Amino acid sequence: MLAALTAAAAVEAGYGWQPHALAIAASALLFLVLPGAALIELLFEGGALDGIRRALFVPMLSVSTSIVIGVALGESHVRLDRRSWAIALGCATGAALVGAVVRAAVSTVAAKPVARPSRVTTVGAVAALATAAALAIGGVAAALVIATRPVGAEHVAGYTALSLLPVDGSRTLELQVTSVELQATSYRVVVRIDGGRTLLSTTLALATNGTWSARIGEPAHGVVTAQLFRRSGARYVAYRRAYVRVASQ
Amino acid sequence: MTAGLWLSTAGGLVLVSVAFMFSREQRPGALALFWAGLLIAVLPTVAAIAFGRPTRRGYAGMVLLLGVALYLVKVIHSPFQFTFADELSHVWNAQRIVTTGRLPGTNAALPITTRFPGLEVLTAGIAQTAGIGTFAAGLVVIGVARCVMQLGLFSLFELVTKSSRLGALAAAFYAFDPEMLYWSAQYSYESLALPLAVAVLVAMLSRRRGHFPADRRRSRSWTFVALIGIAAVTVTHHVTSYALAASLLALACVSLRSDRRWWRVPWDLGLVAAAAATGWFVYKGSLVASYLGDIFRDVYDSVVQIASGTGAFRKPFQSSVYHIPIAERVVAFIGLLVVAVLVVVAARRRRRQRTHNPLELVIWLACIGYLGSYALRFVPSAWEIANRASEFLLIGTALALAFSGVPLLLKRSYRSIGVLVFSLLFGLAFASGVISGWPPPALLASPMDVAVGNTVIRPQGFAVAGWAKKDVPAGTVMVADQTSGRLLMTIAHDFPYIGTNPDAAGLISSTSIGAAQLYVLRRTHARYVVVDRRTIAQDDILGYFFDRAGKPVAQIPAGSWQKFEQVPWTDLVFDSGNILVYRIRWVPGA
Repeated sequence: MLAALTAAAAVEAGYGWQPHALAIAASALLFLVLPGAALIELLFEGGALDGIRRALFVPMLSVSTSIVIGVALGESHVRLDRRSWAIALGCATGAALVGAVVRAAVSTVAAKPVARPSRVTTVGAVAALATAAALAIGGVAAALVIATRPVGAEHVAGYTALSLLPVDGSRTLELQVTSVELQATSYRVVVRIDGGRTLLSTTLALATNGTWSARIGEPAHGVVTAQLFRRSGARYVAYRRAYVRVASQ
Repeated sequence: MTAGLWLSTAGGLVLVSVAFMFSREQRPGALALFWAGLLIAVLPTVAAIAFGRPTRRGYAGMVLLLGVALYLVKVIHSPFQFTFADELSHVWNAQRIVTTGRLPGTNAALPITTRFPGLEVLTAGIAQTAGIGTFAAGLVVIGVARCVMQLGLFSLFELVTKSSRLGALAAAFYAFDPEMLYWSAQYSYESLALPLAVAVLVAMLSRRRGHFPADRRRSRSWTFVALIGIAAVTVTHHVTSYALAASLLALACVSLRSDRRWWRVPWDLGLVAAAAATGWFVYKGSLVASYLGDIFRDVYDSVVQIASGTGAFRKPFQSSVYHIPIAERVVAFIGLLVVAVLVVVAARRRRRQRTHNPLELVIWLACIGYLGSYALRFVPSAWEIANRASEFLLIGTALALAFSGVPLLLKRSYRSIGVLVFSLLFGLAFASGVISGWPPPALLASPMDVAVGNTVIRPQGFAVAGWAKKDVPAGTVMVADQTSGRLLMTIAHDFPYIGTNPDAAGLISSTSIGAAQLYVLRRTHARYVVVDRRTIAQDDILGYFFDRAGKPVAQIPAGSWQKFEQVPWTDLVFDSGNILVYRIRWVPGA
């Protein structure tokens, strides 16, 4: 069963569709379960480890094996991608399983399974436990939903970003305004050279996360200054500025 | 009982989540809700371990539940992305592996992490094969590590005490670790390496010599398990690999005193661990020398300054940056006192019981180290070392606490009072660890993703990182503060310079440009300098979030950014209010 799972997980992880629930399950098995389970089968006779030790050493060995293999591949300059991972971990797990089968075949010592205490479980107890488990899972899910819910904007300060940057390979400047204000906001943008001649003057309104941009032909030389004013009541008040010095060529 | 514990844990987590929502929205009562939720999530499980009579599996399950609950607190604290300082360095490494298929060669924020890539290799592998992001893969990896840690501690303590109950109690006492709630739960190499190291110790102690062939075969199997673990720890975290080698050698050394074969710990694993750590140090990790050397040199300088009268003692559980309420300081001191008293009681009890377990010597040495580490909190540069050392030293100390007078409280005749006293003492010591291990303002969550109508906005650091990703050529060097630099690195895939040699913070905070500032610009070949005007920008835990509306934001001196506007070789190309980006057109003398 372990061998079949390993083969399926390796094929899915290395060649399957993704993103996909199956790919996630295959990846989890391949990195966190199967290498350790196979090594446990190889190293310890069936039933020689109790449930707690298995719960400890299956993930520990899986994680350790994955790390050692991954670092060895990386240090050997083998490209780390899904296929190399699937092949490497699939082979390592498969090798451990083959070893376990061979060991079991030649072993003369009968496996001594760990004694399991007999348990008497009533239907009522199982139902109560299942209900509690469902409620607990629901509680944790609720905690995560509450945590990931974006909070309201009542208590934070919004902002607006202004940028002015020469465009690579051309003699133009790109002016950009990004509004991260808490409501739609009106602006006035004025671009001047050396504080005198106006290259651009316009008004604009941006919604939250809205962006406006414009290209300005770069003048021969001087300091190009962009000033952003934000509307406050009937007036526009100075808010942001940026400048770029243009040298004559 | 199990069902009740699940429900109380889930209920506690819901309360903590609501507390974080309140703190993000600046509503009152968040701190009280946080503590209530945390204690509801933890105390019933711990009380059940101490007073219940579950099966061995039941004990293990409770220990697991405790550790997972504490891990989930961290997850719901930062549910959108990694926001702790080291996390951003590690996740950048993992992203590089995903995008390039190669191990990262350098890391602008924490260069040493590239020399110990175990965590990132594993994360990248899961992300690549599952088709999920590095954030989700990282959460899974650290979650699995936490489970290994809890089961490993339980197994380790159970092997030493030969009692499931004492083993579970000791594992519960490990929650006193100041780093347990946040630091050890963060996406960082130590969070993965330490659980693996604990599992190696379990394998080592499980490796008993016997007369029968099956015993010898099983001994070889445990040796193999330990060797794989040692290899993984060696390539994952430097200090943990050294601590593991030291622990294995120390255990072998003290076990020489035993005349009982069972307690004999062979030298081989310790020697292999030491050889592996040394070999990796020589092959890859020589940066460790400068990294750890800088930390210990700072500590040495502080001690010398205090001894010579030119430096002052640090006030523990206090901060010049944050206001720590007096109640929290009192709880921190009382909790520490509780631990110290229990250690003394345990030592007296064990002395009376005349136990012959030589491994206990290591436990008592750990206790002395743990309590002694609190002295380091009086030294300005050493408090972080004290915090970090607690993770290792508390393994021994937790065991000693389990040997303490606590079992007296658990006698049936004292049962009802015992539950109360035990819960109170445990709550105090646990709260003390939480308070002393993490900056108190960072215990609660801060606003990062904020809903405005149908859209979500993020703080200014994200805006500058997004702008850099779009408009600044890849590979361009940007000198930045700690928080902007880390966001630039993870979002824009650039190479921000936030280092200390030469001193990036000095360049930003100085109010004039002189030879030292020009030297930084020349050495780093910086094309841009990012100046965050908030003083909190240099705090790599608290600096990423939205400013609170209506609350004044402490700023660095105006001269810090105005100096760039007084020279003719810079342009101001980005302005978002708090964050300014200057383009360096040329550097005089370069």
